[in-house]
Amino acid sequence: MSFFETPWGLLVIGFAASSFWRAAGAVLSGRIEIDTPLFDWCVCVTQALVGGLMVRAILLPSTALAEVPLGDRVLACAIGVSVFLLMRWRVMPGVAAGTASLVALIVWRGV
Amino acid sequence: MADPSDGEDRGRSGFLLGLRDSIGVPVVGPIAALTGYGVMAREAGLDLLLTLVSVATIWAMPVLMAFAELTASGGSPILVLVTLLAIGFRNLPMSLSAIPMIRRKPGFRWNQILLAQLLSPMSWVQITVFGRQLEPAKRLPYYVGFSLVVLAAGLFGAWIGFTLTLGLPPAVGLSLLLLTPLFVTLMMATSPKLSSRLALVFGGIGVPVCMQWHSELGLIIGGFVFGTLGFLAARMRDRLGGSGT
Repeated sequence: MSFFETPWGLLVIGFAASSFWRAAGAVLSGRIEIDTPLFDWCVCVTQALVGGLMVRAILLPSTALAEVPLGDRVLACAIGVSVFLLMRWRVMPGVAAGTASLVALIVWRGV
Repeated sequence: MADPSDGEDRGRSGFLLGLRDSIGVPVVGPIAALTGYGVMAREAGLDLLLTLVSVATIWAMPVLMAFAELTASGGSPILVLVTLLAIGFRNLPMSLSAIPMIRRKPGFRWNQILLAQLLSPMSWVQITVFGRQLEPAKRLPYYVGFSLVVLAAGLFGAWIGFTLTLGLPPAVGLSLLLLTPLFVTLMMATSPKLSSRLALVFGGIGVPVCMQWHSELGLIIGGFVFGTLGFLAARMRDRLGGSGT
């Protein structure tokens, strides 16, 4: 068995695979200045990508969150977003309200 | 002549500000998320040291989960490399758009590769949204302080998941899994740029749909298409006489 077939060898491969794109992004970013349309576009692409992942993590989770009914997850997020908007775009109250609502819904349903 | 201690003070205050801002949701989120990874790694047969080193080195939840799964199933090195390269692609645009915010001088420096290694969605959103409000000299130390605490929180979460059986009430444990996506989404919504907010809305709707078609390709294509759509929509609004991009 070669080193790369052991768990530690696979970790070296995992590290290389994960770091490759980070390093490529860092190298390519050397050609980009902030407050330019190209930079704005890069931020937009990342915003869409990360935003999509986050929405998916709520609506179609691969974690234990999937045990919670979809309606409860959506309702808790709607409460969180409503509080966020009512409190003039303050993030912490929105997150606290959303998370607390989900705790209450889970306890209420006995999931 | 500029006083060098002035730069040091700015660096220190930026670092301390980053530490301060990381306390709260930015710390609880990774603890909750990585607790799940700790449990998964233990069940996959990884030892504690390997689990913690994997968090510190890979530092990307989807890649970590695939790593644990592939290690447990005895995946070949080539399969692991190709799969993790495909999953890890999402780190490229994150790194591409975060590094220009924190670098001190234009152009590429080798230490930026190390800085990119600390990136997570939490630190990305913090530096690209909140970082704009900081003076440029404070952004790098701020990012380092913030990211190190988030990384430490992730390691702590993985340790908890690996060593402690889940003693949390199920309702709290499940709700903590909502914390990170909700926090990151709301933080992104506070972006001062209309183009970014539109990209978030379009991506939030379109990317999960694309991922139903193909989980990895859908993410990449959806990110490019809907991000570009947000960018173009904001520019079109500008041309029609609006403002705010």
